[in-house]
Amino acid sequence: MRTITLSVLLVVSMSITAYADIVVVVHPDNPLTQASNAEISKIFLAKTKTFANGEKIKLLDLEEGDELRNQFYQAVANKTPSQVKAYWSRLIFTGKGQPPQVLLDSDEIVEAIEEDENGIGYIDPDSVTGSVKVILTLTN
Amino acid sequence: MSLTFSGISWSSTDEERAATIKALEKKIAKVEKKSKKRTKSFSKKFDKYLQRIKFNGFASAGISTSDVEANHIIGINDSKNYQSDAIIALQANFRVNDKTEAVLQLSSRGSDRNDTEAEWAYIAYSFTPNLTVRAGRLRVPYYVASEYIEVGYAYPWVRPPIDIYNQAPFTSYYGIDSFINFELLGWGNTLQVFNGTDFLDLDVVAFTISQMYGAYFTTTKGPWNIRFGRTLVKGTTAGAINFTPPDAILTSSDYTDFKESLNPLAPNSLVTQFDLTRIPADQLALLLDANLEDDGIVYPLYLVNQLYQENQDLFGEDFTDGFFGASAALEAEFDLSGIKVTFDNFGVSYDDGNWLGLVEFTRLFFSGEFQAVHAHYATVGKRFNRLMPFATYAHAYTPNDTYLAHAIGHLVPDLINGLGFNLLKQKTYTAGVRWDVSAGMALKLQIDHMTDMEGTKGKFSTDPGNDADLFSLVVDVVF
Repeated sequence: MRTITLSVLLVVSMSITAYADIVVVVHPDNPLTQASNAEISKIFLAKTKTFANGEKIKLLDLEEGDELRNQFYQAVANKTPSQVKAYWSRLIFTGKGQPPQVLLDSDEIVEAIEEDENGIGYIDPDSVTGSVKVILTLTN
Repeated sequence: MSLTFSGISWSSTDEERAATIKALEKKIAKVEKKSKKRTKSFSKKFDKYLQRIKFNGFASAGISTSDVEANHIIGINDSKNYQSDAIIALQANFRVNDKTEAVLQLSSRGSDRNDTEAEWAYIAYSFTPNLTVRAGRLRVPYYVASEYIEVGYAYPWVRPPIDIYNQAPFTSYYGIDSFINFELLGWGNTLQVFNGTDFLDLDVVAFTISQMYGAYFTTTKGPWNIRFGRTLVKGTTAGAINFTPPDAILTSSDYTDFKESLNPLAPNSLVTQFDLTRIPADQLALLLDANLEDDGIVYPLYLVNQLYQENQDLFGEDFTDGFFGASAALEAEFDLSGIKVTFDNFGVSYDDGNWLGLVEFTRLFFSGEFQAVHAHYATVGKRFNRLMPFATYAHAYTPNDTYLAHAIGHLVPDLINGLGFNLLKQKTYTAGVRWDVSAGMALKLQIDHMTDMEGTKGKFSTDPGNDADLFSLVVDVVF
């Protein structure tokens, strides 16, 4: 009986992962209250480098191969992991940019934003705490 | 009965025991927290340290061959070639402080027998996140992909269309550039300006770029990216360019070829720089000999002499001295001091993730009697998951048939061939496929069909005939 419940739970949680929303979060003090897909795409492709208040944007990314990361770039920029990598190699090797800092998971991104007012990241909605502000929800 | 251990009393009653355990747990938690904090602060420090130095790199390896004996300017002929597309490059970014960075990129190319060169070596200072100035050794941003021309992973082709991208023999300069980013009406804009100098010691000529300026404007919105700009190069040669053609150029058949190349020309040709009075007697005899069979002899020789007299100032005396020197090997020398070259560029790209479209127009103008070179291409690609088939049409041509190009074009070394010293006509039809094997690794297969060379060498060192096919298989990685 216990095993059955567990496996049911597992299936449910797996399907939640597959269809989960992704939320883009910033520090509560950030003047940004909401953003469009296009704006977030520009921010994460380093085309927009500052927030409206002139502060330098601190991008927080997940590791390559992370499922949430793949979904995020597909959703905002319609780019596969390879396309994102090709895009960044154009910036890196011409000295026009360095890819974002990479963190382990959503919780680490929340922690990093807590400590950096100019941080922005995309996370699992379950990891949202009072110390971050959601500015965009991506639904698959 | 009770005993004291580490300040905590050990009692025998259950409640007491429970309380003690709780107290111990609390203490352990505290220690744990402290140690976690310490680890975290250490890992943060380490992260910070790691953030200061970043290493990236890219590499390509491939095999290519063609169906003609003639050497393509990138070194490929009908034997197997592993060298032309081979490259490995390492880049180190050192962060000095929040605003300053020092960057070094070293490239080791198969085409240079893996001699390692620094294409980028500079210090960048960001006044604001949207205004950066860089100084040191930088790449010339002639065309859209010029700054990442060797980063195969960054573009769909095996190599950027050769008709457009193999023109200037200088790809980097010493100088300063700056970027300004700003947003206007929803378009993200970048203005890049630069100024620099360089010195180029080719085997055939030492070329000093005394000034190089450029300005490029890029604007982007959604999938669209539009770029235009110009680079202006002012240069001088240290001495003169020396061309040493084969010894036997004055045989009768060569002379006939030479004369034939004159025939279509108008009388004010610069070819007429040859001062016949300076030709040593034995060689003049050879020339005359070569033409005794031909009725037309009087006309070209007369023309040549007359026009030389009229245009003497255009080329120095060295030219004729060298061209018809006493040595068996002929040398053509001419002065390139005060020469100006402009590179104009207009490019549009569209990339919505599924469809890719790239169009570029380029024009190169050479001051004086040299050629202009016009070139353009269009690429269309469609992504199917990890595969992207693409097709390219490219066209390069010299719009004016200048006389100089007729006369000495065939003597011009490959390295400066692209600058329009000689006639150039070529169309290239390319079909290829990029396979993204994994993030960071792509495999590409490409066939280039080059045609319509109209009697010119196209992008070959020697005449390939009117058609040639180039086959390439390349693997590109970034790390």
